[in-house]
Amino acid sequence: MLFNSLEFLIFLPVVLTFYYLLPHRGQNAFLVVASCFFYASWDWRFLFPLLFSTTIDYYCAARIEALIQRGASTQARKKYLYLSLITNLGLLGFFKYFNFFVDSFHSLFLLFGLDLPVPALRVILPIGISFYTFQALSYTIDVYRGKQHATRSFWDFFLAVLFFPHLVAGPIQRAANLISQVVTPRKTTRTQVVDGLHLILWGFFKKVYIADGLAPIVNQIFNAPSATGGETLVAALAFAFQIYCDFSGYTDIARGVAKLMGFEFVLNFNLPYFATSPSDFWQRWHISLSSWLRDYLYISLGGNRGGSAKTYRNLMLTMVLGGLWHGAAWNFVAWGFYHGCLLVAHRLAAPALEPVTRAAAGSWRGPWLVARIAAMFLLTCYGWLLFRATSFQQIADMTAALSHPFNGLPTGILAEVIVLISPLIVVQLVQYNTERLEFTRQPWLRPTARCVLYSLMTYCVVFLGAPPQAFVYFQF
Amino acid sequence: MANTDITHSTRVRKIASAAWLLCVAVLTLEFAARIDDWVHFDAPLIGNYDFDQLFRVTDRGIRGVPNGRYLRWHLNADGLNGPEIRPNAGQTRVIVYGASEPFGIYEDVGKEFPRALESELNAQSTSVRYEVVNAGVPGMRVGSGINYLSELSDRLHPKVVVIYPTPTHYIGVTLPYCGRPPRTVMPAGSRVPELRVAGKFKDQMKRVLPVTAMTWLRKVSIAWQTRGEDLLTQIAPASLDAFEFDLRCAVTAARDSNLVPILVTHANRFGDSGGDQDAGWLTGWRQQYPEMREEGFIDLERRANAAIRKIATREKVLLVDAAVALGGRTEWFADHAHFNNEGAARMAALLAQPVLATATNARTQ
Repeated sequence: MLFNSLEFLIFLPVVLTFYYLLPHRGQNAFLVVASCFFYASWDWRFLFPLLFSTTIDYYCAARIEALIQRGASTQARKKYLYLSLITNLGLLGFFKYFNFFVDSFHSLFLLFGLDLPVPALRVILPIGISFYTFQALSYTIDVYRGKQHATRSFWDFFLAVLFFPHLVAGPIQRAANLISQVVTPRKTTRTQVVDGLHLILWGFFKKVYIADGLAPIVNQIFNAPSATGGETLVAALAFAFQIYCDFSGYTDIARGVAKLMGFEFVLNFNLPYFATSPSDFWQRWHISLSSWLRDYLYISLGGNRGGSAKTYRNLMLTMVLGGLWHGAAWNFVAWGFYHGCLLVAHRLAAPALEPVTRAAAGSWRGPWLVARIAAMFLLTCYGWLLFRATSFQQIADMTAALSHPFNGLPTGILAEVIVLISPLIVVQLVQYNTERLEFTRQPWLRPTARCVLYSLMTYCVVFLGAPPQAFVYFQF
Repeated sequence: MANTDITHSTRVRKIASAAWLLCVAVLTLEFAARIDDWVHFDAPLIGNYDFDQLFRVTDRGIRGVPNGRYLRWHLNADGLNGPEIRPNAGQTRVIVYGASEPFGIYEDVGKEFPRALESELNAQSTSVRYEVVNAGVPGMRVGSGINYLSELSDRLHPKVVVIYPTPTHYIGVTLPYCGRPPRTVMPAGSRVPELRVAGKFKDQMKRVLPVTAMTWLRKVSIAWQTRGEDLLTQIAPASLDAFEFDLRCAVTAARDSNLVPILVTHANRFGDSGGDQDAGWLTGWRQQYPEMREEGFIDLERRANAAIRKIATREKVLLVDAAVALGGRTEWFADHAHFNNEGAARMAALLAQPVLATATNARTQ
């Protein structure tokens, strides 16, 4: 059941109606049922790995909590932490990476002339497994670290993981944030309803009008046997906005739906294409994942505590694994590696850039800021090319074509892309300059003007949107 | 007392504000719809935008508007759906006379069956070039467009006319037309202005809603329209007689204009019997003629096609039995009786040989 489907447009009002009529405990029980129904609408069998991993996590966290209260040693607690890690990562590894590793090893052995028999096991990837695995893991790790108390009710924990708005594509909620909202009685405020509806509309606008409108353009160029420099440039630009609008659109809808039920989800995107450096980019793009990777992987690896070399190693490892999290394919690994290189290069270049930034104060501050944003955007776009490409050969061909970026520039397609993305750019420029992410809640925007904007967005979504397509991040 | 007044005035202000915002929203949506039509289809910003852009009512009947445009349909300078009529250069012209089926509703531009027929004929004939004229006018009865057929014949001097009648147009008709233009059509421009966004919303609902939901809504609408009325379970004998009379009239008119007629039976997605899976399509068909029950349509088609076959035999007219060849093949229909691209191509392939043979005979006589 996609957010941009008729089924969901029927499902949501039904859920909200019952939700508002029920008391707190009833609301929670009802949300468990509704979320199960939502998830089972893809394939009811997907519920089993989810139920299995949450049961193990609940048990492990409860045991760890009990051991902490008894003052047991860290070693004793570790046993349960490892059980949780092995269960979650084992399930993720099996469902998501089994075929990838088998095929990769097979190809590797073929290089040495060994044609080993490949186990014929076609595993179906349960939707959203990457998201809920990380979320469940954060719970046991936080309990282990003493940052979070284990919840007493299994159903509260199950709901926190299963809650349908974030289940299949995030944002990845921290246990501390969501479980407390599940346990405490909620009251949906008028502001939450208004903000929620605004987020839902804005999310649909980004997904249905912009992302789905850009999808055929991107597909056409990436599916062609060859592309000129100009076509590659336009494809990378279009995909940058497609993936952003697709994913942030989903997140906005998820956050909006959660608000309608009195829940608050973390911010997942904060104008990422206004980033001025690689590290700034990762503080703005898929914030719930990047902060998860920072807190549970980068810091666990040692972070920046072991000197420059170890810091760089940890950065590279974190980014490569982060790339692999996105999908079981080598181009995601390459994309992660590329971003790791950008982070390392930026750290290395930072001392040299510092005097330039200082010198560019005053009247040069603006142009220097624009130059940094533009440079980072171009670097990000190249990264998206690695992400979207279907083979390393295509990456090599497109990279070579980019040496003549204006050769064969498809001006018609470029104009189409500009028309599609211009509303987003205007809105984000206002958001960036006013430092207010809620565009339609700008104080200078009068109710009539807001009504006009909402109506125009509704028109674009309902009448100008492309046929519904699955969200890009669902595959992860 | 003062407090009550304040509360009352606040409530009035809130209601006024909500009404104002509702008006703003509707006006914005309507404005966006008009800009959208203007950008995408060069539609006029003011006034209605519908099929009236393509057809006008004259005292001789409905005619295509020269160079009329509506959505993807672009009529030529003669008001016909298709490319401009080529100057006479020895080509053999064939007219396809009928209603919305030859005009083309669901096919891509240039894929309507008269266009596909032209390609087929030219592919199969090396010596003679063929030009197929699409004289389909949506909603036109076979009898009410006879003077239109004569006009086209006088002007374009075709050799052959393919007559593809739509029997359902005779539901409720009791007297034959035989060239008499219909009087029931509301003249263009006399209608009240319409909200374009409402029409777009309706179209979008048709695309998005599942068939079962759409069928249910249609049934509700039909039940409302026909409340308290006696419904037909089959077409009235007088209506069928009018259809037969008009068909004979069309054949005679074609011959009077030195045209060789070819009669084609009417094909639909149901074939001889509509299965349960077709119930939704039958309801969709019925929406155009709510006064007749679903089962009546299958019966009407069967009897009308029998009448076409009978007339073809009696009048010694070549018959192409599309109802047998194409009927019931759901994959070739976009709705109850209109072709999709594939169906139009099949229809063209079915017609090509009979038309070639007839045209060859006509030229040699």
